[in-house]
Amino acid sequence: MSVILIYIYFIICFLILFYTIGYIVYQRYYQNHEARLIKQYVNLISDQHLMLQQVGCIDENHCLLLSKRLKNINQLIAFEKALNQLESKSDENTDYLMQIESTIIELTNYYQQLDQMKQAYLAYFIAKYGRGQWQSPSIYRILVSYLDNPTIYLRENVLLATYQQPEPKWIIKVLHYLTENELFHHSKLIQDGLLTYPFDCEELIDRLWEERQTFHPSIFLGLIGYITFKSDRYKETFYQMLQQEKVDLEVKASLMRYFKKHHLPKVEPLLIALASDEQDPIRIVAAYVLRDYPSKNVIATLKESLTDSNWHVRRNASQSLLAMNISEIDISDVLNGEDRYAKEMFRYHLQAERRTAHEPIG
Amino acid sequence: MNLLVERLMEVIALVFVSYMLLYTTFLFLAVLFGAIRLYEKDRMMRLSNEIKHDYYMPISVLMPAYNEEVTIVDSVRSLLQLDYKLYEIIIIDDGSTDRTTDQLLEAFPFRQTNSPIHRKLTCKKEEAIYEVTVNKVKLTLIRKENGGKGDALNMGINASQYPYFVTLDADSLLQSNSLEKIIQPVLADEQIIAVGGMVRVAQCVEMTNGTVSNYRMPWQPIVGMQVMEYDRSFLASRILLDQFSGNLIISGAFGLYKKDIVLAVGGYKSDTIGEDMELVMRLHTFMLNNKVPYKIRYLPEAICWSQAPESLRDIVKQRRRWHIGLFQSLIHYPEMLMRFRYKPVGFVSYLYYWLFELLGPFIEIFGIFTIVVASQFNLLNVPFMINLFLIYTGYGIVLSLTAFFQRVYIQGLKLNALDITKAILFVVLENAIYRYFLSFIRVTSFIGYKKKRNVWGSIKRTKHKESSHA
Repeated sequence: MSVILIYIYFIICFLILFYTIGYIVYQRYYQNHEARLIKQYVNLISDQHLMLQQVGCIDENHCLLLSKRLKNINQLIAFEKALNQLESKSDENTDYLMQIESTIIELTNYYQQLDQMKQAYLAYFIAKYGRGQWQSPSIYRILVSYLDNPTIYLRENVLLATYQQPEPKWIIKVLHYLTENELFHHSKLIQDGLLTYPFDCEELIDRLWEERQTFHPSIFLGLIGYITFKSDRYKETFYQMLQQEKVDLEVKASLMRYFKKHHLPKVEPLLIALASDEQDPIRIVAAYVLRDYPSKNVIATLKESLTDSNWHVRRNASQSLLAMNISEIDISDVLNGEDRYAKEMFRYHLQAERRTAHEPIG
Repeated sequence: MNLLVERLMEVIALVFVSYMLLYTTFLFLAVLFGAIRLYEKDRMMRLSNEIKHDYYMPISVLMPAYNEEVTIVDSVRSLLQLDYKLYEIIIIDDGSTDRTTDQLLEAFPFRQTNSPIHRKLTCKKEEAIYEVTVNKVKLTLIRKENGGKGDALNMGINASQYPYFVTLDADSLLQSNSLEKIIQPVLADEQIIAVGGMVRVAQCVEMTNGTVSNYRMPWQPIVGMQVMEYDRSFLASRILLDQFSGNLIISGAFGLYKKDIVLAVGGYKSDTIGEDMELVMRLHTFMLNNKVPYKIRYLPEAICWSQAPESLRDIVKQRRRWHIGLFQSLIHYPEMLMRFRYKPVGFVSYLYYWLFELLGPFIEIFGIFTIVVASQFNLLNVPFMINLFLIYTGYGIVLSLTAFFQRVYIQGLKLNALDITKAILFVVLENAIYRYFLSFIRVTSFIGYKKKRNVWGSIKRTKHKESSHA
C-alpha cells in the first residue's frame, strides 16, 4: 500500500517536473515570439503617429484591430512594451493615446469577466498611460467595479489608475470602498500614490479633506502626508486640530511634521509644550520640528530636551540645536553641563556637523 | 531468538514505513504547493501584480562579521550598489582575530567617531566606531568585544536608526533589487513582522553591478550537491510552510525584521548557536501568547548569494552547528505544540522540524543499522529493499530536479547542456550518498556540544567571482 502511494507521488512529481521543463522551453519560445510582437506593435503605432501628423486622426481600423487583439493579455503586455519603447516620442504618443480611448473603454468592459491578475494589469496599464488622456467616466466606473474582494495589487493599481484622471470622485469612491470593506492600504502607498495626481491638487485636497472622517485611519494619515507635500493652506486647520486633546498619536505626529515644512509662528508655543508631552513619540517629533522655529525659548526647550530620558529625543534635540546655528556660549553651556548623556549626544553631533562642514562637496 | 528478532523487525519496519510515508507525503505536498505558488508568482511578476514603488521604508542592513577578511570588502561594495533609495549599512566586527577591520579601514575612508549607541539590547562593549558616507549611504563599522553572532546583531540593532533591519552574513552578496523585493510585503500587509529571503550558493554566480551576469553550475561536487540541496529546501518546504506563516526559521544570511517587535522580545540570544531560528520561534510564541495577529513571510524572489563550504571539513562543522542550533531552538519552545497545538504553526511546523529535521537523521541511520542487523539474521528481503531504496532515491531525485528547474524559470537563468548534465549528476549523488553522509554528521553533532555552544562558526572563504564595482 505504502509503495503504491509513493509510486503515485512519484508519477505526479514526474509530471510536475515535465511541466516545469516544458514551461521553461515555452518561456524561451515565448520571449522570441514576444519580441516579434513588440516590433510589430512599434511599427503599427509609428504608422499611426505618422497618420496623426498628416491627417490629424488615426485609422479606425487600427482601433478595431486593437480592440480585438488587446483582449488577449499577452497582446496587451506586448502593446505596453511597444509604447514603452516609443516613450521618447512622448508628444506623438500622447495624441495617439487620446485617440484610442474608445478601445480602452471596450477593454475595461471586457476585462470585467477576466481574473483579478489580468484586471490588475489593465489597471496598471491605464495608470501608466492614462495621464489625463482617458477621462471617460465609464473607464473609472468599471475599474471601481473590479474591486470585489480585490487583491492588494488590484486595489493599488486601480487607485493608481484613478489618480490619472481629473475627477476626485473616483478616487474618493475607491478610498471609501477600502474603508467600508476594512481593507488595509498602507498610508505610504496612499500618500505617494496621491502625489502622482497631475491635475489641480488643491481641489483634490479640499475634496478629500471634506471626506476625511469617512476614511480608514491609514488613508487619513496618507492624506495628511500628501497635504504636507502639496499645500500650505492647511496651517490654520491643522493648528486647530493639534490643539485638540483627543487626537490619535500618529495623526498628531503627522500634523506636527506639517509645521516643519510650513512655518506658522503661532504654533511655536504649542510645539514647546509638546516637547514635554508624556508620550515619547510626541516629544521626539517636537524636538525634531522645533529646529525650524529658532528663538530663545526654543533653544532653552531643546537644551532641556537634551536631558530627556528618551534617547531619540536627545538625538533630535542635539541635531535641532546645531541646525539652528546656536552660539558658542550655548554650545559650551551644554558641553560643560552636568548631564553625561546630554553631553555625549551633543558632542557627537557637533563633531559630525563640523566634519561635514569641512568635507569637500561632491 | 530469531522469532523475537523477526517480530522486532516487523515492528521497526512498520514504524519506518509509516515515517517514510509521512515524509514523502510532506515532500510531495511541498513540491506541489511550491509548483503552484511559483507559477502564480511568475505570472504575477509578468502582469505587474506587485507593489512597485519609488520610495519604500528606510532599512538598516546589519552585517555581523568574525574573521571575514577575505570577503568583507567585496560584500560591502556590493551592498553599496543596491537599487534602494534609503538605507544604511552597519558592519559589526565581533572581535575578529584577523584583519577584518583593517581591510575595511583601508578600503573606505572611515573616520573614528564617538557615536552614542542606544543600548536597548544587552551586548558586549564597543571598542571603536567608524563612520563614512559613500554614495549617499551611511556606512558604520563597529568593532566590539567578542560575544557571538547574536551579541553582534544586538549591537547592530542598537546602532541602527531605521524601523526595519535586514541581517546579512559577511560573505553574502545581494542582488540590486533584493532590498526592494524583501520590503514589498511589508507595504502590502501591516501584519508582517519578518520576511525571509532566498539563499543561493554564491560560487555559481558572477555579479556585475548587482545583477547576475553569469550563472554556471560549479565543478566541485561538494558545492554542486549543496546547490541542489538548497533548491529543494528553499523552494519547496519553505513555500509550503509559508502558506500558513509557519516557517520557524529565517536564514541569518538574509532576513528582514520589524525592529520594534524584535526589541519587544529582547533581541537575539547570545547563548545559542541557532540565533536566527531561536529569534523566529520567539517571535512566533510572543505574538501567539499576546494574541496579536501577525505574519512571518518567505519570499523566494528576494535573493541573497552566500558562500557554501567547499571542503568536507567545513560542511561537517557547519552542519553540526546547524543541527545543534535546531535542537536548542526546538527544545526551548515546547509551548509551540503544548499551547498552540491547534495552530498550523504548532501542529505542522513544529512537528515537522522535530520529526523530519531533528530526528530524521537518527531515524535514517537507525534504518540503515536495522538493515544490517536484519541481514545478519537472514530476515532481509533484498529485492524489496533494493526496490524501496530505488523508489525513495528516485523520488528524491525527481523532487530536487523539479525544485532546480523551478528556480531556473523563476530567476530567468540561462543554462547550457553541461550545466544540466552536472545538475543531474549532482542530484543523483546528493540523494544516493550525500544525504546519508549528512545524516551521519547530524547524528554525531552532539558530541562535544557543550564546548562549542557559543562560538562563531567559521568556514574557509574564497573571493567572490564578482565584477561588482565594474
